[in-house]
Amino acid sequence: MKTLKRTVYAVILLAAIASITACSQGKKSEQAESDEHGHSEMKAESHHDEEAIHEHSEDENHAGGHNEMTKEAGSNRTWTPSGNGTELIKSDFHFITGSAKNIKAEVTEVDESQVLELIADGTPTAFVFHNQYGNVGMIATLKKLDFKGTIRLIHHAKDDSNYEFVSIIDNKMKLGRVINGTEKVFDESTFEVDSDWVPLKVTAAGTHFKGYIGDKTITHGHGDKMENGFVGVMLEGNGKVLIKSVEIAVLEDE
Amino acid sequence: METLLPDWAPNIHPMIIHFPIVLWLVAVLVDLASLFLPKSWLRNMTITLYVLGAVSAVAAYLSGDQAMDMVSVPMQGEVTAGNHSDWGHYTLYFFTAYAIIRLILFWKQWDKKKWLAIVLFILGTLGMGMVAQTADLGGKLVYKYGVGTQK
Repeated sequence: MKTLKRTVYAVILLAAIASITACSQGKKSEQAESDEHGHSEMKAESHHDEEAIHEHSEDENHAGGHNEMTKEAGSNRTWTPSGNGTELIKSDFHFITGSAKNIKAEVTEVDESQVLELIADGTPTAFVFHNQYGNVGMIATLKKLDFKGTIRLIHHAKDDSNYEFVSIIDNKMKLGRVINGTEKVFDESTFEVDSDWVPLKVTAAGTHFKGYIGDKTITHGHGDKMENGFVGVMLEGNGKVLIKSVEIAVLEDE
Repeated sequence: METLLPDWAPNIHPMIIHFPIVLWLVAVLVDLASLFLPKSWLRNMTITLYVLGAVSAVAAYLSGDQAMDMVSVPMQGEVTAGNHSDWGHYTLYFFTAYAIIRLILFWKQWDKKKWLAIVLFILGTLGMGMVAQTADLGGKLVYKYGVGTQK
Protein backbone atom coordinates (compact mmCIF):
# COMPACT_ATOMS: atom_id res chain seq x y z
CA MET A 1 0.00 0.00 0.00
CA LYS A 2 2.85 2.30 0.92
CA THR A 3 4.53 1.56 -2.42
CA LEU A 4 1.34 2.39 -4.28
CA LYS A 5 1.03 5.74 -2.43
CA ARG A 6 4.67 6.57 -3.20
CA THR A 7 4.12 5.70 -6.86
CA VAL A 8 1.01 7.92 -7.05
CA TYR A 9 2.85 10.85 -5.39
CA ALA A 10 5.82 10.34 -7.70
CA VAL A 11 3.55 10.39 -10.77
CA ILE A 12 1.80 13.55 -9.55
CA LEU A 13 5.17 15.20 -8.86
CA LEU A 14 6.50 14.27 -12.29
CA ALA A 15 3.30 15.45 -13.96
CA ALA A 16 3.56 18.75 -12.08
CA ILE A 17 7.20 19.22 -13.12
CA ALA A 18 6.35 18.32 -16.71
CA SER A 19 3.43 20.75 -16.85
CA ILE A 20 5.50 23.56 -15.27
CA THR A 21 8.27 22.96 -17.82
CA ALA A 22 5.74 22.83 -20.67
CA CYS A 23 4.11 26.05 -19.47
CA SER A 24 7.40 27.90 -19.31
CA GLN A 25 8.40 26.64 -22.77
CA GLY A 26 4.96 27.65 -24.06
CA LYS A 27 5.46 31.11 -22.63
CA LYS A 28 8.90 31.34 -24.25
CA SER A 29 7.55 30.28 -27.63
CA GLU A 30 4.55 32.63 -27.20
CA GLN A 31 7.02 35.39 -26.39
CA ALA A 32 9.08 34.49 -29.45
CA GLU A 33 5.94 34.45 -31.62
CA SER A 34 4.81 37.72 -30.13
CA ASP A 35 8.22 39.31 -30.74
CA GLU A 36 8.16 38.09 -34.31
CA HIS A 37 4.59 39.31 -34.71
CA GLY A 38 5.51 42.64 -33.19
CA HIS A 39 8.37 42.92 -35.63
CA SER A 40 6.16 42.25 -38.61
CA GLU A 41 3.58 44.71 -37.23
CA MET A 42 6.31 47.32 -37.01
CA LYS A 43 7.13 46.65 -40.62
CA ALA A 44 3.48 46.83 -41.53
CA GLU A 45 3.15 50.10 -39.63
CA SER A 46 6.20 51.52 -41.26
CA HIS A 47 4.87 50.36 -44.64
CA HIS A 48 1.59 52.05 -43.78
CA ASP A 49 3.49 55.21 -42.94
CA GLU A 50 5.31 55.03 -46.23
CA GLU A 51 1.97 54.68 -47.96
CA ALA A 52 0.58 57.63 -46.02
CA ILE A 53 3.56 59.77 -46.91
CA HIS A 54 3.28 58.69 -50.52
CA GLU A 55 -0.41 59.61 -50.58
CA HIS A 56 0.42 62.92 -49.04
CA SER A 57 3.17 63.66 -51.51
CA GLU A 58 0.75 62.80 -54.32
CA ASP A 59 -1.63 65.37 -52.88
CA GLU A 60 1.11 67.89 -52.70
CA ASN A 61 2.02 67.29 -56.30
CA HIS A 62 -1.48 67.35 -57.69
CA ALA A 63 -1.97 69.95 -60.38
CA GLY A 64 -5.25 71.41 -59.31
CA GLY A 65 -7.34 68.43 -60.34
CA HIS A 66 -10.34 67.25 -58.36
CA ASN A 67 -8.84 66.22 -55.02
CA GLU A 68 -11.04 63.99 -52.83
CA MET A 69 -10.49 64.52 -49.13
CA THR A 70 -10.64 61.53 -46.82
CA LYS A 71 -13.96 60.21 -45.47
CA GLU A 72 -12.57 57.33 -43.45
CA ALA A 73 -12.92 57.62 -39.65
CA GLY A 74 -9.59 57.86 -37.86
CA SER A 75 -7.78 59.26 -40.88
CA ASN A 76 -6.08 62.60 -41.44
CA ARG A 77 -5.45 64.19 -44.81
CA THR A 78 -3.67 67.41 -45.65
CA TRP A 79 -4.62 69.56 -48.59
CA THR A 80 -1.91 71.78 -50.06
CA PRO A 81 -2.28 74.07 -53.06
CA SER A 82 -0.58 73.72 -56.42
CA GLY A 83 -1.26 74.49 -60.07
CA ASN A 84 -3.63 77.16 -61.23
CA GLY A 85 -5.41 78.99 -58.38
CA THR A 86 -8.74 79.58 -60.13
CA GLU A 87 -8.96 76.01 -61.41
CA LEU A 88 -7.88 74.65 -58.04
CA ILE A 89 -10.56 76.51 -56.09
CA LYS A 90 -13.21 75.36 -58.57
CA SER A 91 -12.14 71.72 -58.60
CA ASP A 92 -11.38 71.07 -54.93
CA PHE A 93 -14.13 73.22 -53.40
CA HIS A 94 -17.61 74.47 -54.03
CA PHE A 95 -19.12 77.73 -52.82
CA ILE A 96 -21.98 77.98 -50.35
CA THR A 97 -21.92 81.75 -50.53
CA GLY A 98 -20.10 84.12 -52.85
CA SER A 99 -18.13 82.86 -55.81
CA ALA A 100 -14.59 82.46 -57.18
CA LYS A 101 -14.63 86.01 -58.54
CA ASN A 102 -15.03 87.38 -54.96
CA ILE A 103 -11.74 85.84 -53.82
CA LYS A 104 -9.29 86.11 -56.67
CA ALA A 105 -7.28 82.92 -56.16
CA GLU A 106 -3.69 82.42 -57.21
CA VAL A 107 -1.06 79.84 -56.26
CA THR A 108 2.24 81.51 -55.41
CA GLU A 109 5.47 80.48 -53.71
CA VAL A 110 6.25 81.85 -50.25
CA ASP A 111 9.15 80.65 -48.07
CA GLU A 112 9.76 77.77 -50.53
CA SER A 113 6.16 76.57 -50.13
CA GLN A 114 3.27 76.74 -52.55
CA VAL A 115 0.48 78.79 -50.99
CA LEU A 116 -2.98 79.81 -52.07
CA GLU A 117 -3.28 83.59 -52.22
CA LEU A 118 -6.79 84.94 -51.94
CA ILE A 119 -7.76 88.55 -52.51
CA ALA A 120 -11.19 89.12 -50.97
CA ASP A 121 -13.38 91.93 -52.32
CA GLY A 122 -15.57 92.32 -49.22
CA THR A 123 -18.37 89.96 -50.29
CA PRO A 124 -18.88 87.17 -47.73
CA THR A 125 -17.48 84.09 -49.44
CA ALA A 126 -17.37 80.51 -48.21
CA PHE A 127 -15.71 77.66 -50.08
CA VAL A 128 -15.98 74.11 -48.76
CA PHE A 129 -14.60 70.68 -49.64
CA HIS A 130 -16.98 68.33 -51.42
CA ASN A 131 -17.32 65.72 -48.63
CA GLN A 132 -19.61 66.01 -45.61
CA TYR A 133 -18.42 65.13 -42.12
CA GLY A 134 -19.77 64.52 -38.62
CA ASN A 135 -17.10 64.50 -35.92
CA VAL A 136 -14.27 66.37 -37.56
CA GLY A 137 -11.13 68.38 -36.92
CA MET A 138 -9.59 70.95 -39.24
CA ILE A 139 -6.35 72.94 -39.15
CA ALA A 140 -5.80 75.74 -41.63
CA THR A 141 -2.36 77.29 -41.68
CA LEU A 142 -2.92 80.83 -42.87
CA LYS A 143 -1.42 84.28 -42.95
CA LYS A 144 -3.24 87.57 -43.05
CA LEU A 145 -1.42 90.09 -45.19
CA ASP A 146 -3.49 93.24 -45.58
CA PHE A 147 -6.76 91.43 -44.91
CA LYS A 148 -9.24 93.36 -42.79
CA GLY A 149 -12.18 91.34 -41.55
CA THR A 150 -13.16 87.95 -40.23
CA ILE A 151 -11.73 84.58 -41.21
CA ARG A 152 -13.86 81.59 -40.27
CA LEU A 153 -13.24 77.89 -40.43
CA ILE A 154 -16.69 76.43 -40.93
CA HIS A 155 -17.92 72.89 -40.39
CA HIS A 156 -21.26 71.06 -40.36
CA ALA A 157 -22.17 73.57 -43.05
CA LYS A 158 -25.39 73.10 -44.99
CA ASP A 159 -25.67 76.57 -46.51
CA ASP A 160 -24.71 80.15 -45.68
CA SER A 161 -27.38 80.27 -42.92
CA ASN A 162 -26.60 76.96 -41.19
CA TYR A 163 -23.08 76.10 -40.09
CA GLU A 164 -20.71 75.97 -37.13
CA PHE A 165 -17.56 77.99 -36.97
CA VAL A 166 -14.45 79.23 -35.28
CA SER A 167 -13.59 82.76 -36.33
CA ILE A 168 -10.69 85.13 -35.84
CA ILE A 169 -10.67 88.87 -36.19
CA ASP A 170 -7.44 90.61 -35.12
CA ASN A 171 -6.50 88.67 -31.95
CA LYS A 172 -10.04 87.67 -30.96
CA MET A 173 -11.42 84.19 -31.45
CA LYS A 174 -15.08 83.27 -31.44
CA LEU A 175 -16.60 79.78 -31.40
CA GLY A 176 -20.22 79.20 -32.26
CA ARG A 177 -22.87 78.21 -34.75
CA VAL A 178 -25.31 79.86 -37.11
CA ILE A 179 -28.81 78.37 -37.31
CA ASN A 180 -31.27 79.81 -39.82
CA GLY A 181 -29.09 82.91 -40.01
CA THR A 182 -28.98 83.49 -36.23
CA GLU A 183 -25.56 83.37 -34.64
CA LYS A 184 -25.10 81.66 -31.28
CA VAL A 185 -21.69 82.11 -29.63
CA PHE A 186 -20.40 79.23 -27.45
CA ASP A 187 -17.23 80.93 -26.29
CA GLU A 188 -14.89 83.78 -27.16
CA SER A 189 -11.41 84.76 -26.09
CA THR A 190 -8.23 86.51 -27.17
CA PHE A 191 -5.00 84.90 -28.33
CA GLU A 192 -1.42 85.68 -29.26
CA VAL A 193 0.66 84.19 -32.04
CA ASP A 194 4.44 84.10 -32.31
CA SER A 195 4.67 83.98 -36.10
CA ASP A 196 2.82 85.46 -39.08
CA TRP A 197 1.47 82.03 -39.99
CA VAL A 198 -1.53 81.19 -37.83
CA PRO A 199 -2.34 77.50 -37.33
CA LEU A 200 -6.08 77.93 -36.78
CA LYS A 201 -7.72 74.74 -35.61
CA VAL A 202 -11.27 73.69 -34.82
CA THR A 203 -12.60 70.37 -33.58
CA ALA A 204 -16.18 69.12 -33.32
CA ALA A 205 -16.45 65.94 -31.25
CA GLY A 206 -20.06 65.08 -30.40
CA THR A 207 -21.35 67.97 -28.31
CA HIS A 208 -17.86 69.36 -27.61
CA PHE A 209 -16.43 72.12 -29.77
CA LYS A 210 -12.98 73.67 -29.45
CA GLY A 211 -11.01 76.40 -31.14
CA TYR A 212 -7.22 76.31 -31.01
CA ILE A 213 -4.22 78.27 -32.14
CA GLY A 214 -1.72 75.48 -32.77
CA ASP A 215 -1.95 73.20 -29.73
CA LYS A 216 -3.30 75.84 -27.38
CA THR A 217 -7.01 75.73 -26.57
CA ILE A 218 -8.45 79.23 -26.87
CA THR A 219 -12.20 78.56 -26.93
CA HIS A 220 -14.26 75.61 -25.73
CA GLY A 221 -18.02 75.28 -25.95
CA HIS A 222 -20.90 72.84 -26.02
CA GLY A 223 -23.97 72.45 -28.15
CA ASP A 224 -26.27 69.86 -29.68
CA LYS A 225 -24.70 67.52 -32.19
CA MET A 226 -25.47 68.68 -35.72
CA GLU A 227 -26.08 66.70 -38.89
CA ASN A 228 -23.09 65.99 -41.13
CA GLY A 229 -22.05 68.94 -43.23
CA PHE A 230 -19.29 70.49 -45.30
CA VAL A 231 -16.03 71.92 -43.98
CA GLY A 232 -14.18 74.89 -45.40
CA VAL A 233 -13.17 78.52 -45.10
CA MET A 234 -15.30 81.67 -45.01
CA LEU A 235 -13.91 85.14 -45.58
CA GLU A 236 -15.77 88.30 -44.65
CA GLY A 237 -13.62 91.31 -45.40
CA ASN A 238 -11.20 92.94 -47.79
CA GLY A 239 -7.60 92.17 -48.57
CA LYS A 240 -5.10 89.41 -49.04
CA VAL A 241 -4.94 86.08 -47.18
CA LEU A 242 -2.52 83.21 -47.75
CA ILE A 243 -3.42 79.57 -47.07
CA LYS A 244 -0.51 77.15 -46.85
CA SER A 245 -2.41 73.96 -45.98
CA VAL A 246 -5.67 72.57 -44.66
CA GLU A 247 -5.64 69.37 -42.63
CA ILE A 248 -8.86 67.44 -42.17
CA ALA A 249 -9.20 64.70 -39.56
CA VAL A 250 -12.27 62.47 -39.55
CA LEU A 251 -12.51 61.80 -35.84
CA GLU A 252 -12.69 58.25 -34.52
CA ASP A 253 -15.83 57.46 -32.58
CA GLU A 254 -15.66 55.33 -29.44
CA MET B 1 -1.00 74.96 -5.71
CA GLU B 2 0.84 74.63 -9.05
CA THR B 3 4.21 75.16 -7.36
CA LEU B 4 3.63 71.94 -5.39
CA LEU B 5 3.37 69.97 -8.62
CA PRO B 6 6.37 67.89 -9.70
CA ASP B 7 8.03 69.09 -12.91
CA TRP B 8 6.82 66.11 -14.92
CA ALA B 9 3.15 66.53 -13.98
CA PRO B 10 1.05 68.36 -16.60
CA ASN B 11 -1.54 69.41 -14.00
CA ILE B 12 -3.02 68.31 -10.68
CA HIS B 13 -5.78 66.11 -12.19
CA PRO B 14 -3.74 62.85 -12.35
CA MET B 15 -2.84 63.28 -8.65
CA ILE B 16 -6.46 63.62 -7.57
CA ILE B 17 -8.42 61.17 -9.71
CA HIS B 18 -7.23 58.10 -7.80
CA PHE B 19 -8.92 59.26 -4.58
CA PRO B 20 -12.55 58.89 -5.73
CA ILE B 21 -11.68 55.61 -7.49
CA VAL B 22 -10.16 54.00 -4.40
CA LEU B 23 -12.54 55.56 -1.84
CA TRP B 24 -15.61 54.44 -3.80
CA LEU B 25 -14.23 50.95 -4.43
CA VAL B 26 -13.41 50.44 -0.73
CA ALA B 27 -16.80 51.92 0.22
CA VAL B 28 -18.58 49.34 -1.96
CA LEU B 29 -16.50 46.49 -0.45
CA VAL B 30 -17.16 47.66 3.13
CA ASP B 31 -20.84 48.08 2.23
CA LEU B 32 -20.86 44.46 1.01
CA ALA B 33 -19.18 43.30 4.23
CA SER B 34 -21.75 45.17 6.32
CA LEU B 35 -24.54 43.23 4.60
CA PHE B 36 -23.15 40.04 6.15
CA LEU B 37 -21.77 41.59 9.36
CA PRO B 38 -24.23 44.24 10.54
CA LYS B 39 -21.77 46.04 12.84
CA SER B 40 -22.16 49.75 13.55
CA TRP B 41 -18.46 50.48 12.87
CA LEU B 42 -18.84 49.01 9.36
CA ARG B 43 -21.93 51.17 8.81
CA ASN B 44 -20.03 54.27 9.98
CA MET B 45 -17.07 53.38 7.82
CA THR B 46 -19.27 52.92 4.72
CA ILE B 47 -20.96 56.31 5.03
CA THR B 48 -17.63 58.04 5.73
CA LEU B 49 -16.03 56.46 2.65
CA TYR B 50 -18.97 57.33 0.38
CA VAL B 51 -18.96 60.96 1.57
CA LEU B 52 -15.17 61.24 1.17
CA GLY B 53 -15.52 59.62 -2.27
CA ALA B 54 -18.08 62.26 -3.29
CA VAL B 55 -15.92 65.13 -1.95
CA SER B 56 -12.87 63.83 -3.83
CA ALA B 57 -15.03 63.43 -6.97
CA VAL B 58 -15.80 67.17 -6.81
CA ALA B 59 -12.05 67.87 -6.62
CA ALA B 60 -11.41 65.46 -9.53
CA TYR B 61 -14.13 67.15 -11.59
CA LEU B 62 -12.80 70.68 -10.95
CA SER B 63 -9.20 69.68 -11.71
CA GLY B 64 -10.32 67.77 -14.82
CA ASP B 65 -12.29 70.73 -16.10
CA GLN B 66 -9.18 72.88 -15.74
CA ALA B 67 -6.88 70.21 -17.23
CA MET B 68 -9.02 69.77 -20.35
CA ASP B 69 -8.07 73.19 -21.69
CA MET B 70 -4.45 73.04 -20.48
CA VAL B 71 -3.30 69.87 -22.20
CA SER B 72 -2.83 69.30 -25.89
CA VAL B 73 -5.30 66.74 -27.24
CA PRO B 74 -4.50 65.30 -30.68
CA MET B 75 -7.45 65.63 -33.05
CA GLN B 76 -8.12 61.86 -33.07
CA GLY B 77 -8.39 61.94 -29.26
CA GLU B 78 -11.06 64.66 -29.15
CA VAL B 79 -14.05 62.28 -29.10
CA THR B 80 -12.49 60.32 -26.23
CA ALA B 81 -11.73 63.58 -24.39
CA GLY B 82 -15.34 64.69 -24.82
CA ASN B 83 -16.71 61.33 -23.62
CA HIS B 84 -14.31 61.30 -20.65
CA SER B 85 -15.55 64.75 -19.71
CA ASP B 86 -19.22 63.71 -20.08
CA TRP B 87 -18.77 60.54 -17.98
CA GLY B 88 -16.88 62.60 -15.39
CA HIS B 89 -19.94 64.84 -15.11
CA TYR B 90 -22.38 61.91 -14.82
CA THR B 91 -20.20 60.26 -12.16
CA LEU B 92 -19.97 63.46 -10.14
CA TYR B 93 -23.76 63.99 -10.21
CA PHE B 94 -24.33 60.37 -9.23
CA PHE B 95 -21.75 60.41 -6.40
CA THR B 96 -23.09 63.65 -4.97
CA ALA B 97 -26.74 62.56 -5.07
CA TYR B 98 -25.91 59.10 -3.71
CA ALA B 99 -23.82 60.45 -0.82
CA ILE B 100 -26.59 62.90 0.15
CA ILE B 101 -29.21 60.12 0.05
CA ARG B 102 -26.97 57.82 2.11
CA LEU B 103 -26.40 60.56 4.69
CA ILE B 104 -30.14 61.12 5.08
CA LEU B 105 -30.83 57.37 5.38
CA PHE B 106 -27.93 57.03 7.83
CA TRP B 107 -29.23 59.90 9.94
CA LYS B 108 -32.76 58.43 9.98
CA GLN B 109 -31.23 54.95 10.54
CA TRP B 110 -33.35 53.61 7.66
CA ASP B 111 -30.28 52.05 6.05
CA LYS B 112 -30.42 49.34 8.73
CA LYS B 113 -33.33 47.74 6.88
CA LYS B 114 -31.93 44.75 5.01
CA TRP B 115 -33.80 45.27 1.72
CA LEU B 116 -32.82 48.93 1.61
CA ALA B 117 -29.19 48.09 2.42
CA ILE B 118 -29.17 45.66 -0.55
CA VAL B 119 -30.67 48.29 -2.90
CA LEU B 120 -28.09 50.85 -1.73
CA PHE B 121 -25.28 48.35 -2.26
CA ILE B 122 -26.47 47.67 -5.83
CA LEU B 123 -26.63 51.41 -6.53
CA GLY B 124 -23.11 51.82 -5.09
CA THR B 125 -21.90 49.07 -7.44
CA LEU B 126 -23.52 50.89 -10.39
CA GLY B 127 -21.61 54.01 -9.33
CA MET B 128 -18.42 51.96 -9.40
CA GLY B 129 -19.26 51.01 -12.99
CA MET B 130 -19.51 54.70 -13.88
CA VAL B 131 -16.12 55.31 -12.25
CA ALA B 132 -14.66 52.43 -14.27
CA GLN B 133 -16.06 53.86 -17.53
CA THR B 134 -14.68 57.34 -16.78
CA ALA B 135 -11.30 55.90 -15.74
CA ASP B 136 -11.14 53.73 -18.87
CA LEU B 137 -11.64 56.76 -21.11
CA GLY B 138 -9.06 58.73 -19.09
CA GLY B 139 -6.58 55.87 -19.49
CA LYS B 140 -7.23 55.79 -23.23
CA LEU B 141 -6.51 59.53 -23.44
CA VAL B 142 -3.13 59.05 -21.78
CA TYR B 143 -1.96 55.68 -23.11
CA LYS B 144 -3.46 55.75 -26.60
CA TYR B 145 -3.30 59.45 -27.44
CA GLY B 146 -0.43 60.53 -25.14
CA VAL B 147 -2.42 63.38 -23.56
CA GLY B 148 -0.53 64.97 -20.67
CA THR B 149 2.67 63.10 -21.46
CA GLN B 150 5.95 64.44 -22.82
CA LYS B 151 5.40 62.66 -26.18
